[in-house]
Amino acid sequence: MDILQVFKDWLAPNKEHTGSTAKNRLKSMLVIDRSNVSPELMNDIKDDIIKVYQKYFELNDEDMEVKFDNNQNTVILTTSISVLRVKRNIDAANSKDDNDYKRNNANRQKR
Amino acid sequence: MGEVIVITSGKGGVGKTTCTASLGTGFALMGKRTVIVDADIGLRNLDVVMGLENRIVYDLVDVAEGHCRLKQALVKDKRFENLYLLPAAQTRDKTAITPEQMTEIAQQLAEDFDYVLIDCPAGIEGGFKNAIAGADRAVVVTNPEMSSVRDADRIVGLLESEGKANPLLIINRLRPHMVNKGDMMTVDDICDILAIKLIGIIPEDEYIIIATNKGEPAVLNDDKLVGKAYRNIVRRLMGEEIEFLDLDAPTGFFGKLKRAFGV
Repeated sequence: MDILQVFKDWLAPNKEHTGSTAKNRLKSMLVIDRSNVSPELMNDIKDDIIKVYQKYFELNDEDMEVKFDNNQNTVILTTSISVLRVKRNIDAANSKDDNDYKRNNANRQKR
Repeated sequence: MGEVIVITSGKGGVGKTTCTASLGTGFALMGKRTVIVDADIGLRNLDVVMGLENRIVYDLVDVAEGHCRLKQALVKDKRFENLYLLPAAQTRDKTAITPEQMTEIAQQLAEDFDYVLIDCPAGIEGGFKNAIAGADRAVVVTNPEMSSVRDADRIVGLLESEGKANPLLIINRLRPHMVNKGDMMTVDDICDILAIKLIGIIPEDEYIIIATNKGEPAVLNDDKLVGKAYRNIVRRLMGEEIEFLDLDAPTGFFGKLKRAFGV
């Protein structure tokens, strides 16, 4: 970028440089293109992920996003889900699992 | 045995045909026996860009179907010692030829010529598969613009899955002024995204239209930067190491003055 451009930016600081916008949009677009993930599969993935979260949280169904991102040559699956509140009975569910685990371990040791 | 190079892009209108014409002519100027093949059956244009549209007798499909011998279908460009065109059929479609026939024709041509340049049609279907079938090397042409880079990426993937690894990249129609303003992807941006070897950068120039109007490939113009850009690509394809042009180079007194002051 030349000096004139720096000056123009100073005069109009909010002007967007669309070249880098294009690059960033392309990068995330190509992650999906290259991974060959169909929109249907993407939706399935999203539904499954949401199911897991729903076990523990009450979610705002309207505000969810699951997408592939590209961060310096690594693909990142980002989920953005707005949580309304944590479910109260999680502890009970977890401790039941814990007890099962302890019981199984004890059984194994007996044998 | 000569080398078969396919010029491809995925997206239409990025400059495959213009590149093929100029690179083919460039090879001939370097003293190489060269044939350019128009694989865009049904939408032929390479003959027009070359100014050879009135000289066509037989075409690619005639050769494939055995209506004539390969040599009979070649149109000799009388302006250059070593340059021939194998035109596409205009009244048929992509199904008129198979990848096997195309490979056979490319091989026969490679026995007689140093360079066989194939102008690939746009798209990723039959026409593309035909055009790349007989190629030793692939050159992907793209513009510094989102949709053509996206399509180029798809083509790179398809080329690899067809066993044509390591294609080379030409960035066509670059506008240095827009890059400087930050409103066009840079050469580095595109190379970073496509991750294939860059072999040429061609600036946008109205002269391309004038050259096509006249039927004279732009590579022939010594005064224009585009002509030089094409000649450099030819030499790089022949194995020479040549620096990329400084497309920002100021022209005229005021350009130089502006540059001296860093604006």
